[in-house]
Amino acid sequence: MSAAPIPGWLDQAIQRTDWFRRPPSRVGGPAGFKEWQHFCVYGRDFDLLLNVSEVDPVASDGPPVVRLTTLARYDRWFGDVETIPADEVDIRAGRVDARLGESTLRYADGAYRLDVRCRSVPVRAQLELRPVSMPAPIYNVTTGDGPPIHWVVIPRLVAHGEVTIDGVRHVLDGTPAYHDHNWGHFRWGRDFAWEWGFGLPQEASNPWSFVFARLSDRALNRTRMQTLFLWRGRRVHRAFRDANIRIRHHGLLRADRVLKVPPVMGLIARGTATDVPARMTIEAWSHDTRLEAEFTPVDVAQVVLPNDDDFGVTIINEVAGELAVEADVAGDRVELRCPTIFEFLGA
Amino acid sequence: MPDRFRPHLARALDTLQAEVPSLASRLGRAVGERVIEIEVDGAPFWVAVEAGRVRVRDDGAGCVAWGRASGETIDGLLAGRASIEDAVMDGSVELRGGLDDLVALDEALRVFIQCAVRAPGILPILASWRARRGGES
Repeated sequence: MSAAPIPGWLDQAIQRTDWFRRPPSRVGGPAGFKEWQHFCVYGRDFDLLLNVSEVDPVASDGPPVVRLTTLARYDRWFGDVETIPADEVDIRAGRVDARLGESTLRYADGAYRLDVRCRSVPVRAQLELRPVSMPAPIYNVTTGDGPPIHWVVIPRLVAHGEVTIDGVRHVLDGTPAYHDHNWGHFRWGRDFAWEWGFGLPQEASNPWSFVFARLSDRALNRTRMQTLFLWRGRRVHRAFRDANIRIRHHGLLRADRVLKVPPVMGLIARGTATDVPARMTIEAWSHDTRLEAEFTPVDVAQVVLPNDDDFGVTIINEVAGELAVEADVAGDRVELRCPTIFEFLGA
Repeated sequence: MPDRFRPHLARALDTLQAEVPSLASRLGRAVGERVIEIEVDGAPFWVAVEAGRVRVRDDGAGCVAWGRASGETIDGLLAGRASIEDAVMDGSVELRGGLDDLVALDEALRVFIQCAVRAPGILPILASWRARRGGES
């Protein structure tokens, strides 16, 4: 379960940007902190999302709560949000090194290593993820009425190892994967929403990787920030901001069935209606580049979070679909067609 | 079958009161002055507001709404194996009462869940109930 080592400078860049910050409340700092490490892996016939989070409780006093969120899509979605008892958690600040019960997450020797044993859903993953692209740190992103949040994205990694979903074993040998890391003081239910997505080629020979994100007010009436990155190989080749990006939603996705995690939240957030578009188009341009992307959702699962300050919920729609990107970058033709998962966060 | 649900619900209500008291008061407002009968695995009990908080009690006088389900059905709802709508439609959850009272019962369920997911002490209670159910089956 290994691949070629990554360059030393890439390893250093990751170690300097991607490390657990951990809640300042542990040492007397302000409460209300949230942090998570997010990984997506795209097999030939499955998708896997793994998210390790640590958040300060808001409605009650107490130590930060650590959760493992798993969403696996094979012939259907499997998933849950598992709260890990405090005495089974060991997270080291300043590095990526965490133990959550029987599961572990580490970055060392140029690779993320995840050994995940879900307790409540039939998902097991032993993964080695080697970064291909440079991390892009995006700090101090406004959420409107609170402190900014921070984001580090490594859009392209290659996965080796194996994933077992509902008894079916999948062997990974250079499978595309994605990773990001978010942290900051913000409160679910406040006046913000986000949507983001990425595109990774299935063919290792295709050098292009794509990431976009948009933060807006909760009603999606006012965009506060939007950004789009195009990596070529290891480095960001073009970056687009705000006025040079146009994102449009077309129609609404109507799913027959929507998995909600944790499952108990399905008793509050009922039904299958979502505000996920049936189709999404993205255009970006600069003096030498013209890019067009189209995301077509096919399936959705929801992570349903209780709001911090009211009895509402915040819904994170994890949307599986097909992405097509075409661009002309200073005369270079870019083409990318791949399955992916976009995320739409809202009420 | 031993009455496992009732003592766990009573513990859960006490835990909400202790850990998220301001939220738990909303549960009292949702229940209001109603007495609600709950029957799980054939064992009935009642819930009502007493001294400003929702409690489990033995007295069903004045009951205006009634709900019945098996422990297995409740576990299935909590685990997402069925939706509340499907459970009502297929009869695995039975409800009886005036429309206003049933709407209030549904609101009380939603508020209870909203409180429970914010109270860290609820998870061990749920685990205990599931363990005892597992031990019986």
